[in-house]
Amino acid sequence: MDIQEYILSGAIESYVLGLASANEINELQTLSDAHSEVKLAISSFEKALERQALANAVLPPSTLKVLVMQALAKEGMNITNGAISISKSNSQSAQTISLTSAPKSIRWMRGAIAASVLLILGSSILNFYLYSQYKKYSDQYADLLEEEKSLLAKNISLQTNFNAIKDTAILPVQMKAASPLGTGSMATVMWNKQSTDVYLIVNNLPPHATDRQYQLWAIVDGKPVDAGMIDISKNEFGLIKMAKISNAQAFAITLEKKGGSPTPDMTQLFVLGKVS
Amino acid sequence: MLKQRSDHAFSYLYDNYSGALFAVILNIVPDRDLASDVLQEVYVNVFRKIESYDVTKSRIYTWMLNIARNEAIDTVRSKGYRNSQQNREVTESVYEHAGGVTQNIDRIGLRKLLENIKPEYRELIDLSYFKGLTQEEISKIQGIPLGTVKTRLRAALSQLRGLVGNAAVWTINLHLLNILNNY
Repeated sequence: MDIQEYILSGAIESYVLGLASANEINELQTLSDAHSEVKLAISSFEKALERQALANAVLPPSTLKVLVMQALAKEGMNITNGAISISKSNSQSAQTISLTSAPKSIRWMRGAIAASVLLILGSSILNFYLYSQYKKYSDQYADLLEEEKSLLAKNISLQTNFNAIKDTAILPVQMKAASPLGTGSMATVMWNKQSTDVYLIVNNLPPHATDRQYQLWAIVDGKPVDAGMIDISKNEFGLIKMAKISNAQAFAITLEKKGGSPTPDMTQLFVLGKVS
Repeated sequence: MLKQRSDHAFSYLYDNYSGALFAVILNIVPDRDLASDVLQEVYVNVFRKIESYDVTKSRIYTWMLNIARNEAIDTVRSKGYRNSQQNREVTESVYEHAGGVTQNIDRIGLRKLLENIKPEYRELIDLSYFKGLTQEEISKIQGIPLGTVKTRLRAALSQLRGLVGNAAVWTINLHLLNILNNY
Protein backbone atom coordinates (compact mmCIF):
# COMPACT_ATOMS: atom_id res chain seq x y z
CA MET A 1 0.00 0.00 0.00
CA ASP A 2 1.30 3.39 -0.96
CA ILE A 3 1.53 5.33 2.28
CA GLN A 4 1.58 8.72 0.59
CA GLU A 5 -1.61 7.85 -1.27
CA TYR A 6 -3.22 6.75 1.97
CA ILE A 7 -2.28 10.02 3.66
CA LEU A 8 -3.78 12.01 0.78
CA SER A 9 -6.90 9.87 0.54
CA GLY A 10 -8.97 11.52 3.24
CA ALA A 11 -8.89 8.42 5.43
CA ILE A 12 -7.09 10.31 8.18
CA GLU A 13 -9.52 13.24 8.13
CA SER A 14 -12.37 10.75 8.21
CA TYR A 15 -10.90 9.07 11.28
CA VAL A 16 -10.15 12.27 13.17
CA LEU A 17 -13.63 13.63 12.46
CA GLY A 18 -15.19 10.44 13.81
CA LEU A 19 -16.60 9.26 10.49
CA ALA A 20 -14.55 6.11 10.03
CA SER A 21 -16.07 2.62 10.24
CA ALA A 22 -14.65 0.01 12.65
CA ASN A 23 -12.65 -1.54 9.81
CA GLU A 24 -11.28 1.78 8.72
CA ILE A 25 -10.28 2.57 12.31
CA ASN A 26 -8.43 -0.73 12.61
CA GLU A 27 -6.66 -0.18 9.31
CA LEU A 28 -5.61 3.29 10.30
CA GLN A 29 -4.34 2.30 13.72
CA THR A 30 -2.29 -0.52 12.26
CA LEU A 31 -0.78 1.78 9.65
CA SER A 32 -0.16 4.46 12.22
CA ASP A 33 1.76 2.07 14.46
CA ALA A 34 3.85 0.92 11.53
CA HIS A 35 4.44 4.23 9.76
CA SER A 36 5.37 7.37 11.60
CA GLU A 37 4.36 9.56 8.62
CA VAL A 38 0.81 8.39 9.16
CA LYS A 39 1.03 9.09 12.86
CA LEU A 40 2.44 12.53 12.07
CA ALA A 41 -0.30 13.25 9.53
CA ILE A 42 -2.95 12.31 12.09
CA SER A 43 -1.54 14.50 14.81
CA SER A 44 -0.99 17.45 12.50
CA PHE A 45 -4.58 17.35 11.25
CA GLU A 46 -5.80 17.05 14.82
CA LYS A 47 -3.76 20.07 15.83
CA ALA A 48 -4.92 22.14 12.87
CA LEU A 49 -8.53 21.21 13.56
CA GLU A 50 -8.13 22.14 17.18
CA ARG A 51 -6.52 25.50 16.41
CA GLN A 52 -9.20 26.33 13.90
CA ALA A 53 -11.91 25.34 16.39
CA LEU A 54 -10.38 27.45 19.15
CA ALA A 55 -10.08 30.41 16.78
CA ASN A 56 -13.77 30.08 15.95
CA ALA A 57 -14.93 29.47 19.49
CA VAL A 58 -18.29 30.86 20.55
CA LEU A 59 -18.57 31.69 24.23
CA PRO A 60 -21.35 29.78 25.94
CA PRO A 61 -23.50 31.65 28.49
CA SER A 62 -21.35 32.71 31.43
CA THR A 63 -23.70 31.03 33.88
CA LEU A 64 -23.17 27.65 32.31
CA LYS A 65 -19.83 26.74 33.88
CA VAL A 66 -21.25 26.64 37.39
CA LEU A 67 -24.06 24.38 36.23
CA VAL A 68 -21.62 22.06 34.50
CA MET A 69 -19.28 21.85 37.50
CA GLN A 70 -22.24 21.14 39.77
CA ALA A 71 -23.45 18.41 37.46
CA LEU A 72 -19.96 16.87 37.42
CA ALA A 73 -19.72 17.06 41.19
CA LYS A 74 -22.97 15.09 41.35
CA GLU A 75 -21.37 12.50 39.08
CA GLY A 76 -18.55 12.11 41.56
CA MET A 77 -15.89 14.63 40.55
CA ASN A 78 -13.15 15.07 43.16
CA ILE A 79 -12.13 18.35 44.65
CA THR A 80 -8.37 18.13 44.81
CA ASN A 81 -5.40 20.40 45.39
CA GLY A 82 -3.16 18.77 42.83
CA ALA A 83 -1.74 20.47 39.76
CA ILE A 84 -3.57 20.05 36.48
CA SER A 85 -1.92 18.13 33.76
CA ILE A 86 -3.55 17.10 30.52
CA SER A 87 -1.41 14.58 28.72
CA LYS A 88 -0.99 15.32 25.05
CA SER A 89 -0.59 12.80 22.32
CA ASN A 90 2.93 11.69 21.54
CA SER A 91 4.84 13.57 18.92
CA GLN A 92 6.36 11.93 15.91
CA SER A 93 9.35 9.59 16.09
CA ALA A 94 12.17 9.43 13.59
CA GLN A 95 11.88 6.97 10.76
CA THR A 96 13.78 3.72 10.95
CA ILE A 97 15.06 1.92 7.95
CA SER A 98 15.35 -1.84 7.85
CA LEU A 99 18.49 -3.50 6.65
CA THR A 100 18.56 -6.19 4.05
CA SER A 101 18.59 -9.73 5.42
CA ALA A 102 21.80 -11.82 5.53
CA PRO A 103 22.71 -13.85 2.39
CA LYS A 104 22.05 -17.55 2.17
CA SER A 105 24.97 -18.68 0.04
CA ILE A 106 28.46 -18.65 1.59
CA ARG A 107 29.94 -17.80 -1.80
CA TRP A 108 28.40 -14.34 -1.61
CA MET A 109 29.31 -13.88 2.03
CA ARG A 110 32.15 -11.38 1.46
CA GLY A 111 30.32 -9.30 -1.03
CA ALA A 112 27.21 -9.47 1.06
CA ILE A 113 29.01 -8.38 4.21
CA ALA A 114 30.55 -5.45 2.36
CA ALA A 115 27.12 -4.54 0.98
CA SER A 116 25.60 -4.78 4.46
CA VAL A 117 28.25 -2.54 5.94
CA LEU A 118 27.68 0.00 3.20
CA LEU A 119 23.97 -0.23 3.77
CA ILE A 120 24.34 0.31 7.50
CA LEU A 121 26.53 3.30 6.80
CA GLY A 122 24.07 4.66 4.29
CA SER A 123 21.18 4.06 6.60
CA SER A 124 22.88 5.83 9.51
CA ILE A 125 23.60 8.79 7.30
CA LEU A 126 20.00 8.78 6.16
CA ASN A 127 18.85 8.63 9.78
CA PHE A 128 20.98 11.63 10.71
CA TYR A 129 19.74 13.48 7.69
CA LEU A 130 16.09 12.64 8.36
CA TYR A 131 16.46 13.54 11.99
CA SER A 132 18.02 16.87 11.16
CA GLN A 133 15.23 17.50 8.66
CA TYR A 134 12.68 16.63 11.28
CA LYS A 135 14.37 18.90 13.77
CA LYS A 136 14.53 21.68 11.21
CA TYR A 137 10.84 21.41 10.33
CA SER A 138 9.91 20.95 13.94
CA ASP A 139 11.74 24.18 14.82
CA GLN A 140 10.28 25.98 11.83
CA TYR A 141 6.85 24.81 12.83
CA ALA A 142 7.36 26.12 16.36
CA ASP A 143 8.55 29.43 14.93
CA LEU A 144 5.55 29.58 12.63
CA LEU A 145 3.23 28.99 15.56
CA GLU A 146 4.87 31.84 17.45
CA GLU A 147 4.66 34.07 14.44
CA GLU A 148 1.04 33.15 13.95
CA LYS A 149 0.33 34.04 17.57
CA SER A 150 1.92 37.42 17.17
CA LEU A 151 0.17 38.02 13.85
CA LEU A 152 -3.16 37.17 15.40
CA ALA A 153 -2.44 39.63 18.21
CA LYS A 154 -1.49 42.28 15.68
CA ASN A 155 -4.63 41.50 13.75
CA ILE A 156 -6.70 42.21 16.82
CA SER A 157 -4.87 45.52 17.32
CA LEU A 158 -5.45 46.46 13.71
CA GLN A 159 -9.14 45.65 13.91
CA THR A 160 -9.51 47.63 17.14
CA ASN A 161 -7.74 50.63 15.64
CA PHE A 162 -9.72 50.46 12.46
CA ASN A 163 -12.99 50.23 14.36
CA ALA A 164 -11.98 53.26 16.39
CA ILE A 165 -11.43 55.45 13.37
CA LYS A 166 -14.35 54.30 11.26
CA ASP A 167 -16.80 55.17 13.99
CA THR A 168 -19.52 57.46 12.65
CA ALA A 169 -18.74 60.05 15.33
CA ILE A 170 -15.21 60.49 13.99
CA LEU A 171 -14.30 63.83 12.44
CA PRO A 172 -11.10 63.79 10.39
CA VAL A 173 -8.89 66.88 10.58
CA GLN A 174 -6.17 67.02 7.95
CA MET A 175 -3.06 68.86 9.08
CA LYS A 176 -0.97 70.15 6.19
CA ALA A 177 2.35 71.99 6.07
CA ALA A 178 2.11 75.35 7.86
CA SER A 179 5.69 76.53 7.49
CA PRO A 180 8.79 75.98 5.37
CA LEU A 181 9.88 73.45 8.02
CA GLY A 182 6.75 71.48 7.40
CA THR A 183 7.05 71.27 3.62
CA GLY A 184 5.85 67.87 2.49
CA SER A 185 4.66 66.94 5.96
CA MET A 186 1.19 65.73 6.78
CA ALA A 187 -0.68 64.29 9.70
CA THR A 188 -4.34 63.57 10.32
CA VAL A 189 -6.31 63.76 13.52
CA MET A 190 -9.27 61.38 13.78
CA TRP A 191 -11.34 63.07 16.43
CA ASN A 192 -14.30 61.34 18.06
CA LYS A 193 -16.26 64.38 19.26
CA GLN A 194 -18.68 62.22 21.21
CA SER A 195 -16.14 60.32 23.24
CA THR A 196 -13.49 63.09 22.94
CA ASP A 197 -10.91 60.46 21.95
CA VAL A 198 -8.21 61.72 19.63
CA TYR A 199 -6.32 59.40 17.30
CA LEU A 200 -3.37 60.58 15.27
CA ILE A 201 -2.25 59.24 11.91
CA VAL A 202 1.29 60.35 11.07
CA ASN A 203 1.13 60.43 7.29
CA ASN A 204 4.52 62.05 6.92
CA LEU A 205 6.73 63.76 9.48
CA PRO A 206 10.48 63.97 9.03
CA PRO A 207 12.76 62.21 11.52
CA HIS A 208 14.22 64.31 14.28
CA ALA A 209 17.13 64.30 16.76
CA THR A 210 16.83 62.08 19.81
CA ASP A 211 16.57 64.98 22.25
CA ARG A 212 13.49 66.35 20.49
CA GLN A 213 9.93 65.17 20.15
CA TYR A 214 6.83 66.11 18.18
CA GLN A 215 3.93 67.44 20.22
CA LEU A 216 0.28 67.67 19.24
CA TRP A 217 -1.71 70.79 20.13
CA ALA A 218 -5.41 71.48 20.08
CA ILE A 219 -6.22 75.12 19.43
CA VAL A 220 -9.08 75.98 21.78
CA ASP A 221 -10.53 79.50 21.55
CA GLY A 222 -7.31 80.82 20.15
CA LYS A 223 -5.10 79.18 22.80
CA PRO A 224 -2.95 76.08 22.26
CA VAL A 225 -3.73 73.13 24.55
CA ASP A 226 -1.33 70.22 24.91
CA ALA A 227 -2.81 67.10 23.29
CA GLY A 228 0.09 64.75 23.95
CA MET A 229 3.55 63.81 22.83
CA ILE A 230 3.95 61.89 19.61
CA ASP A 231 6.05 58.81 20.07
CA ILE A 232 7.17 57.78 16.57
CA SER A 233 8.10 54.33 17.87
CA LYS A 234 4.47 53.71 18.89
CA ASN A 235 3.40 54.27 15.33
CA GLU A 236 3.45 50.62 14.33
CA PHE A 237 -0.08 50.29 13.17
CA GLY A 238 -0.34 53.75 11.74
CA LEU A 239 -2.42 55.11 14.64
CA ILE A 240 -1.40 56.79 17.90
CA LYS A 241 -3.82 57.51 20.69
CA MET A 242 -3.47 61.06 22.00
CA ALA A 243 -5.00 63.01 24.86
CA LYS A 244 -8.75 63.50 25.01
CA ILE A 245 -9.98 66.80 23.64
CA SER A 246 -13.54 67.97 24.07
CA ASN A 247 -13.34 71.22 22.17
CA ALA A 248 -11.02 72.61 19.49
CA GLN A 249 -11.04 74.74 16.39
CA ALA A 250 -7.77 73.43 15.00
CA PHE A 251 -4.93 71.00 15.59
CA ALA A 252 -1.21 71.54 15.07
CA ILE A 253 2.12 69.76 15.55
CA THR A 254 5.36 71.41 16.67
CA LEU A 255 8.79 69.94 17.35
CA GLU A 256 9.67 70.48 21.00
CA LYS A 257 12.40 69.21 23.29
CA LYS A 258 11.93 65.63 24.43
CA GLY A 259 9.12 65.37 26.97
CA GLY A 260 7.35 68.41 25.57
CA SER A 261 6.66 71.95 26.60
CA PRO A 262 3.67 73.70 28.21
CA THR A 263 3.46 76.16 25.33
CA PRO A 264 4.32 75.56 21.69
CA ASP A 265 7.44 76.89 20.01
CA MET A 266 5.80 78.45 16.97
CA THR A 267 9.12 78.62 15.13
CA GLN A 268 8.97 74.83 15.11
CA LEU A 269 5.48 74.52 13.68
CA PHE A 270 5.21 71.75 11.13
CA VAL A 271 1.58 71.12 10.30
CA LEU A 272 -1.76 72.71 11.05
CA GLY A 273 -5.31 71.77 10.28
CA LYS A 274 -8.58 73.53 10.94
CA VAL A 275 -11.58 71.67 12.23
CA SER A 276 -14.29 71.85 9.58
CA MET B 1 -5.39 14.54 36.51
CA LEU B 2 -8.35 13.85 34.33
CA LYS B 3 -8.52 10.18 35.15
CA GLN B 4 -8.47 11.04 38.80
CA ARG B 5 -11.57 13.12 38.10
CA SER B 6 -10.10 16.21 39.68
CA ASP B 7 -12.11 19.39 39.50
CA HIS B 8 -9.06 21.36 38.40
CA ALA B 9 -8.66 19.16 35.37
CA PHE B 10 -12.29 19.40 34.34
CA SER B 11 -12.37 23.09 35.04
CA TYR B 12 -9.46 23.44 32.63
CA LEU B 13 -11.27 21.32 30.06
CA TYR B 14 -14.25 23.61 30.31
CA ASP B 15 -12.30 26.88 30.22
CA ASN B 16 -10.18 25.82 27.29
CA TYR B 17 -12.57 23.93 25.07
CA SER B 18 -16.15 24.85 25.91
CA GLY B 19 -16.12 27.68 23.35
CA ALA B 20 -14.79 25.48 20.57
CA LEU B 21 -17.32 22.74 21.34
CA PHE B 22 -20.16 25.23 21.67
CA ALA B 23 -19.45 26.52 18.17
CA VAL B 24 -19.60 22.99 16.77
CA ILE B 25 -22.83 22.21 18.61
CA LEU B 26 -24.39 25.43 17.31
CA ASN B 27 -23.70 24.29 13.77
CA ILE B 28 -25.99 21.33 14.42
CA VAL B 29 -28.38 22.73 17.03
CA PRO B 30 -28.81 26.42 16.23
CA ASP B 31 -30.95 27.27 19.24
CA ARG B 32 -28.56 28.67 21.87
CA ASP B 33 -30.50 27.52 24.92
CA LEU B 34 -30.77 24.02 23.62
CA ALA B 35 -27.13 24.09 22.55
CA SER B 36 -26.17 25.07 26.10
CA ASP B 37 -28.04 22.05 27.42
CA VAL B 38 -26.23 19.87 24.91
CA LEU B 39 -22.89 21.35 25.95
CA GLN B 40 -23.60 20.51 29.56
CA GLU B 41 -24.58 16.98 28.61
CA VAL B 42 -21.34 16.70 26.61
CA TYR B 43 -19.21 17.54 29.61
CA VAL B 44 -21.13 15.05 31.73
CA ASN B 45 -20.51 12.40 29.07
CA VAL B 46 -16.86 13.33 28.87
CA PHE B 47 -16.65 12.89 32.62
CA ARG B 48 -18.43 9.54 32.59
CA LYS B 49 -16.30 8.20 29.74
CA ILE B 50 -12.95 9.61 30.84
CA GLU B 51 -11.64 6.18 31.78
CA SER B 52 -11.98 5.07 28.18
CA TYR B 53 -10.02 8.02 26.77
CA ASP B 54 -6.79 6.77 25.27
CA VAL B 55 -4.14 9.46 24.87
CA THR B 56 -2.26 7.40 22.30
CA LYS B 57 -5.29 7.24 20.02
CA SER B 58 -6.24 10.91 19.84
CA ARG B 59 -5.93 14.35 21.33
CA ILE B 60 -8.36 15.18 24.10
CA TYR B 61 -10.04 17.83 21.99
CA THR B 62 -10.66 15.45 19.08
CA TRP B 63 -12.13 12.91 21.48
CA MET B 64 -14.44 15.49 23.06
CA LEU B 65 -15.37 16.84 19.64
CA ASN B 66 -16.67 13.44 18.68
CA ILE B 67 -18.76 13.18 21.85
CA ALA B 68 -20.11 16.69 21.23
CA ARG B 69 -21.03 16.02 17.62
CA ASN B 70 -22.80 12.77 18.47
CA GLU B 71 -24.68 14.34 21.36
CA ALA B 72 -25.82 17.21 19.15
CA ILE B 73 -26.95 14.87 16.38
CA ASP B 74 -28.84 12.70 18.87
CA THR B 75 -30.58 15.79 20.15
CA VAL B 76 -31.62 16.81 16.65
CA ARG B 77 -32.95 13.32 15.95
CA SER B 78 -34.91 13.12 19.18
CA LYS B 79 -38.70 13.18 19.01
CA GLY B 80 -39.00 16.28 21.18
CA TYR B 81 -36.73 18.25 18.90
CA ARG B 82 -38.42 17.12 15.71
CA ASN B 83 -41.80 18.21 16.99
CA SER B 84 -40.60 21.68 17.79
CA GLN B 85 -38.70 22.08 14.53
CA GLN B 86 -41.39 20.99 12.11
CA ASN B 87 -42.11 24.42 10.79
CA ARG B 88 -38.55 25.67 10.74
CA GLU B 89 -36.61 23.08 8.75
CA VAL B 90 -33.75 24.56 6.73
CA THR B 91 -33.25 22.80 3.44
CA GLU B 92 -30.01 22.01 1.66
CA SER B 93 -31.01 24.39 -1.15
CA VAL B 94 -29.45 27.02 1.07
CA TYR B 95 -26.07 25.93 -0.31
CA GLU B 96 -27.19 26.54 -3.87
CA HIS B 97 -27.35 30.25 -3.12
CA ALA B 98 -23.86 30.40 -1.67
CA GLY B 99 -22.95 33.67 -3.34
CA GLY B 100 -25.95 35.94 -3.13
CA VAL B 101 -28.78 35.43 -0.67
CA THR B 102 -28.34 36.38 3.00
CA GLN B 103 -28.54 33.42 5.34
CA ASN B 104 -30.15 33.26 8.72
CA ILE B 105 -27.68 30.64 9.85
CA ASP B 106 -24.48 31.78 11.52
CA ARG B 107 -21.64 30.35 9.49
CA ILE B 108 -19.22 29.25 12.14
CA GLY B 109 -15.95 27.46 11.90
CA LEU B 110 -16.03 24.23 9.97
CA ARG B 111 -19.35 25.00 8.36
CA LYS B 112 -17.92 28.25 7.04
CA LEU B 113 -14.89 26.50 5.60
CA LEU B 114 -17.26 24.24 3.71
CA GLU B 115 -18.20 27.17 1.51
CA ASN B 116 -14.84 26.70 -0.16
CA ILE B 117 -15.50 23.12 -1.23
CA LYS B 118 -17.32 21.80 -4.28
CA PRO B 119 -21.12 21.60 -3.74
CA GLU B 120 -21.27 17.79 -4.13
CA TYR B 121 -18.51 17.35 -1.56
CA ARG B 122 -20.05 19.92 0.72
CA GLU B 123 -23.34 18.08 0.77
CA LEU B 124 -21.63 14.80 1.59
CA ILE B 125 -19.77 16.28 4.53
CA ASP B 126 -22.93 17.98 5.73
CA LEU B 127 -24.96 14.76 5.61
CA SER B 128 -22.22 12.72 7.16
CA TYR B 129 -20.67 15.06 9.69
CA PHE B 130 -23.40 17.47 10.71
CA LYS B 131 -26.42 15.20 10.21
CA GLY B 132 -24.74 11.99 11.32
CA LEU B 133 -26.00 9.83 8.48
CA THR B 134 -24.09 6.62 7.88
CA GLN B 135 -22.62 5.94 4.46
CA GLU B 136 -25.35 3.34 3.87
CA GLU B 137 -28.05 5.89 4.59
CA ILE B 138 -26.40 8.43 2.29
CA SER B 139 -26.06 5.82 -0.42
CA LYS B 140 -29.82 5.14 -0.23
CA ILE B 141 -30.83 8.80 -0.17
CA GLN B 142 -28.62 9.81 -3.07
CA GLY B 143 -29.07 6.60 -5.00
CA ILE B 144 -25.33 6.12 -5.36
CA PRO B 145 -23.44 2.86 -4.74
CA LEU B 146 -21.92 2.58 -1.27
CA GLY B 147 -18.39 2.32 -2.66
CA THR B 148 -18.83 5.62 -4.52
CA VAL B 149 -20.11 7.35 -1.37
CA LYS B 150 -17.08 6.13 0.48
CA THR B 151 -14.58 7.32 -2.13
CA ARG B 152 -16.28 10.69 -2.57
CA LEU B 153 -16.51 11.29 1.14
CA ARG B 154 -12.83 10.53 1.47
CA ALA B 155 -12.02 12.93 -1.36
CA ALA B 156 -14.21 15.60 0.22
CA LEU B 157 -12.50 15.19 3.58
CA SER B 158 -9.02 15.31 2.10
CA GLN B 159 -9.93 18.74 0.70
CA LEU B 160 -10.73 19.82 4.23
CA ARG B 161 -7.15 19.25 5.29
CA GLY B 162 -5.81 22.10 3.20
CA LEU B 163 -8.54 24.46 4.36
CA VAL B 164 -8.27 23.71 8.03
CA GLY B 165 -4.53 24.35 7.64
CA ASN B 166 -4.52 28.10 7.63
CA ALA B 167 -4.15 29.48 4.14
CA ALA B 168 -7.19 31.76 4.40
CA VAL B 169 -6.37 33.13 7.84
CA TRP B 170 -2.77 34.02 6.88
CA THR B 171 -3.76 35.89 3.74
CA ILE B 172 -6.27 38.10 5.54
CA ASN B 173 -3.81 38.97 8.33
CA LEU B 174 -1.05 39.88 5.92
CA HIS B 175 -3.32 42.06 3.78
CA LEU B 176 -4.50 44.01 6.79
CA LEU B 177 -0.95 44.62 7.96
CA ASN B 178 0.06 45.86 4.53
CA ILE B 179 -2.85 48.24 4.21
CA LEU B 180 -2.36 49.95 7.54
CA ASN B 181 1.42 50.08 7.41
CA ASN B 182 1.30 52.01 4.17
CA TYR B 183 -1.19 54.47 5.56
